[in-house]
Amino acid sequence: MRCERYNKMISDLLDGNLSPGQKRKLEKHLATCKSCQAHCEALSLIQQEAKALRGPDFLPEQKREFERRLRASFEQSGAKKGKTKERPKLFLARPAWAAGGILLLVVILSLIFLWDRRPPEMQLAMMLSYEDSYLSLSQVIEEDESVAQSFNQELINSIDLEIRMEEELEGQDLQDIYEQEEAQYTENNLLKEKFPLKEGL
Amino acid sequence: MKGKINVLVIIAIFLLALIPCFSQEQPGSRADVHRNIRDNIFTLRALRMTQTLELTQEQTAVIFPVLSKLEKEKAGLQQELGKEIRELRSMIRDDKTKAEDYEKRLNRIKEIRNEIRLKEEAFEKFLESQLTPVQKAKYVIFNLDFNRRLMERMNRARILVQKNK
Repeated sequence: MRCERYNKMISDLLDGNLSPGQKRKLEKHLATCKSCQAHCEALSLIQQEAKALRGPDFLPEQKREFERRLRASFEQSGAKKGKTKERPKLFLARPAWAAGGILLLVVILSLIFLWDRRPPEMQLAMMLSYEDSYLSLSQVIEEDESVAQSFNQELINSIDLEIRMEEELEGQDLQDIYEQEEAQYTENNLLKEKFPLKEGL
Repeated sequence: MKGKINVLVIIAIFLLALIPCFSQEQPGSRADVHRNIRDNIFTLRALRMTQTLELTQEQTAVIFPVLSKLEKEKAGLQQELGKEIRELRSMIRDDKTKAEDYEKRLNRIKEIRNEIRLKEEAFEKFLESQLTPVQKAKYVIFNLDFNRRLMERMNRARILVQKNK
């Protein structure tokens, strides 16, 4: 049992696959075991003789015939085991095509993924949305009905003023008119409250 | 004279657009007040837009029917949005609201806002096809100023109401 393990080590030694430690161990064993010594010598002799042998001189026709049979034999055994698959010959035969195809696929997939992730074009309507302003405003109106009434009255006054101004002040700079209107409003309604003494003076 | 005709055209279009609204709801309701506010803002906006952008009669005749139609659609959506937001507020107050109910409500709000956004974008595209570059530039500034003035006006109304209380 023990020698069987050393026999395996002898085989490895001749193949050059033994570590220095194992080699020392084997040499120690060979020094004491006649049977293993004989086995080692026999194997060594076989190896030397095998190396000395020359390969057979085949004719090119014979080589081709041998390859053909070998291939046929492989294919037959593969078919029997059901392991061989039909390979995609197109791409294997043309690696450049395969690389190109993969690259194209990567580009297409990247485009598909990146397409949706581009930031959407910001429209002016969204930047300056009247509807967003209205939404904030409507929330205030919701809270207080009297504010809604007061605001509505202001709007009506503004529309009225707008129509009158259109009739009376055609051609005058509108910006000035709006500013005048606001200044007048502020003076009438807000300054009086803020500085009540002014009115008395 | 040209300006007067423009104003008359706007008011006529606007009044025509309002006929179905008046025939649907009872006057004096809360929704009615809100709709009046929305209508008045629209009228004021249309008037100021005409003047600020110096729209010609031809432009007014093309732009305002589209604007009026769009306004009706957006007003309906805003009304619905207001209702959804009211519901959302009451859901937040109510501890028993389930997660899926929130999801449902939020999705609806997103949908409505998206619909409004799409309509605004579509109108903007249409408007750009009708305006000169100078008018387009003026429109940008007009929008900013109008929205700002609107909020200022609202704040003034609040201050006045608080003063009178």
